[in-house]
Parts: sequence; structure tokens; C-alpha cells
Amino acid sequence: MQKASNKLDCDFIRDNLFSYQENKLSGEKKQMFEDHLLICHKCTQLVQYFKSISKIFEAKRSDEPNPFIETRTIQRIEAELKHGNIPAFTFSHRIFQPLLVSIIIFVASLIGFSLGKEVDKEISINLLRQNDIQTMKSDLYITDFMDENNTIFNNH
Amino acid sequence: MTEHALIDGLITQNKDAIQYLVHHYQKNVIKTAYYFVDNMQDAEDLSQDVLLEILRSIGRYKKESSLNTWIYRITVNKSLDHLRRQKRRNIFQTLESFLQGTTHEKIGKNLEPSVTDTTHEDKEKKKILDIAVNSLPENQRIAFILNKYDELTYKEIAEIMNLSISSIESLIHRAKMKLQNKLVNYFSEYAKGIK
Repeated sequence: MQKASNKLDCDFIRDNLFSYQENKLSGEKKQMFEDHLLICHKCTQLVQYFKSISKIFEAKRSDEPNPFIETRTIQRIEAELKHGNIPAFTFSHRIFQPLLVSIIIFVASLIGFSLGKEVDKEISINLLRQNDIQTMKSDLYITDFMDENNTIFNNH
Repeated sequence: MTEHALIDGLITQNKDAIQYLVHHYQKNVIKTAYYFVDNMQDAEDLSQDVLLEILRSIGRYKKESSLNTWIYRITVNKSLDHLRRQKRRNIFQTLESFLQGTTHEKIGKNLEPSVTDTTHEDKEKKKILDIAVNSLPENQRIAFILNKYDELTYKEIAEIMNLSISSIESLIHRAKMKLQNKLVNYFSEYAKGIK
């Protein structure tokens, strides 16, 4: 029974390493945590190990970059600007570009509309021609040729 | 300089605005990139790429989030891209050395600790922590690094990652649980070693 409760306490330690380290355990849980450390050598070692690992977070945070990086970066940006590798978003650019796109879309729709109208006109002219031919045929009593299956052969 | 003035200045490629951007934002960019790529030289190079990317795309910046959040997003994305490229390079190098029949030592700068550690044990522990953090799923890793190293609040991380605060809480909680388990396992190995 004692062994089982110790095992539970060890699991509690393992599950709360971060919370203990970050001081996020409630008073009662923190007490429980520390009480167990007094009697369990293995868990004490584990907590110490975890603490030493956690110090690496702090060490990494304190690493500083090269002090000359700022100058180097500005030089690089200036070089890129000089070579035109960074497009400028000037006022005229911001206005001109969308305006140009709108004009292109407008002109394209106008062309499409007028082309559509032309095609429509041609179709109606063709229909009129066919109607005229039919009228002429009926005026001159010209019958359409038919085969044995009564399919009409059109001469044109 | 206000954020609005800075953005307008960057759009027109004003020299003062560019200098202000570099002076006030580059260090943070380097640090965040460093927490991801674990190499100061690479982080410095990445920070230059991030700043150039900002200048290239500032015209498309929609001001839906703060400039700082937007810069964090670019930094995280660039760092992750760098890690992916490095991973691919490492695979090819491993394959190459395997085909050449040479014994491959640790390949890639990522495995070489860049912090000026004093003892071998510290180096070992740092390597263990890096491996454990890098083994986390991408979203958990991003949230954990931004919280633990950059010390950002859950709200700030939620804005950067475009997720809800509760999702960030859950990501960080799961990341810590996984790290705890991994570190406990490493500790068992370590304890065996010192016996």
C-alpha cells in the first residue's frame, strides 16, 4: 500500500515538473510536491535535472546577436534597393496599377460586348437568308429531296 | 515614430523608416529566429531575409493585425522554411555519406551547440532539450517556443498563429506534457549512466 502511494506521488512529480518550475502549483499541491521530494531521492534528482535543463531556456534567452548586424543589414538593404530588387510602392504606383487593371477590364468587356453583338447580327442575317430561301422554294414549288426513310436532303 | 508613419515610410522606402525598422525590430526577429533554428549566424541571416521580405510586401500589408504580429508571422514562417531546407539537406548529406561508405558524424550545424557552454554535460543537456523541442508537432513547437523563449502571452501567440486563446493553451499544455515525458525518459538514461 505504501509502495503504491509512493508510486502515485512519483507520477505526480513527473506530471508537474513544469508547473512546479514555473511556480504554478497551488499551495496544497506545492506542499505535496515538496513533501515527496524529502522522502524520494530519485524524484529529487529528477527535479534537479529538470531545473538544470530549464536553465538552458534562460541561457538561450541571454544569447546576444552580433553588434554589427544592424549596420550590415542596412548596407544589404541599400544594395538591394540600388539594384532595384525591392519594388517601390509609391503613391502613383498604388493608384496607377489598380486604375490600369480597371481600364483593361473595362476595355476587354467593351470589346467582348461589341464582338457578341456582331456575332448575334450575323446569326440573325443567316436565319433571314434561310427563311428567304424557304419562301423562294415554296413560291417556285421546289420540293426538298427525300430518301426512302423520309429524311430531307438539303441542297445547300 | 508611430506604426502608421513607419508603414507609410516603408511603403515609400524612406531611409529613416528603414533605419527605424532595422533598429527597433531586427533584434527581436533575430532572437525569435534563433529560438527556432538554434544557430545565431543563421538567425542573423534569416533576420535580413525577414526585413527584406517586409520591405517587399509592405504594400500588401492589410493592417488586420499589428505590424509586430505580422513581423512575427514572417519570422516564424522563414525559420520553419529554413529548418525544412536544412532537414532536406541533412537527408541528402546522410545519403551521400552512406553511399560513399564514410562514417557519418553529426551532420548539420543544428546539432552543434552554438551557446558558449562551459561543460560537456551542459552541451549534452542542451542537445537533449533541442532534440526534445524539435520532436514536438509543428504547432505545439511554435506555441511553446513563442511562450517559453519569447515570453509572449497566450493572446499574442493566438494572434500570430491565427488561433483561439484556448487552442493555444491546449497546444502549450500538450507540448509541456510531451517534453516532460521525454525529459523524464532522458533522465532515466542519464541516471543509468551515472550509476
